[in-house]
Amino acid sequence: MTLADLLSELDHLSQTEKLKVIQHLAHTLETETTFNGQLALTSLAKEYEIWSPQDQGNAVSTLHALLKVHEQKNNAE
Amino acid sequence: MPSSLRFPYVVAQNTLGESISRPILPTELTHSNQSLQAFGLVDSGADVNMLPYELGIALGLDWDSQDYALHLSGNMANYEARGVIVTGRIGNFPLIDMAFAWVRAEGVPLIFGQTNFFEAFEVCFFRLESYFTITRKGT
Repeated sequence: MTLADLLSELDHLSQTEKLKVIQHLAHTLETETTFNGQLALTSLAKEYEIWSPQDQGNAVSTLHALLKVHEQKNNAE
Repeated sequence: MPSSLRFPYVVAQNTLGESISRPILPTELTHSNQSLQAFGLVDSGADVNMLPYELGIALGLDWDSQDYALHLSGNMANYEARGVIVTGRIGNFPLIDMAFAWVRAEGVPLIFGQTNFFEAFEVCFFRLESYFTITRKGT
């Protein structure tokens, strides 16, 4: 397969698959000691956890409901 | 009561030894007569406040007694979460009821997000000067 063929195939991948290809190549290059840009690509090959909780559909509304119930309970006491 | 409070960014080091500045807020959290001092990240990108599992246990919360199940996405999608209310004291501001997504995961940070931290406080970030301010809404 030529490089042109490979690039053509890569164009048909989904966005997620393209990112996985990038990670795979970065990880492969990381192990090649002759590569000068190793440190920069090392950081690309790692996964970074982002902890910011995002609402899947009910978190915000549920917490608001919980706050309302808590407030009503406090007012009743 | 102060109109606003100012806090410095906290400088930490990541695994590569680089300095990272973060807006960390010291808060006293209380639930059922259990109090503890905690330090949470003020995160405008977080939809909700997040309470780590071990902090909830230290506050006396009982996981099996919580009725409000939450669904979070992204990094938190694989963990169970429950809605809980904890009282928060920040500086000399009046006590505030804080709603948290109590996440059944170890090692997650304490996070102050849009619901309900940013709904209760006006926050200004002065990153270049390494501080942020919070103002209680309605004051």
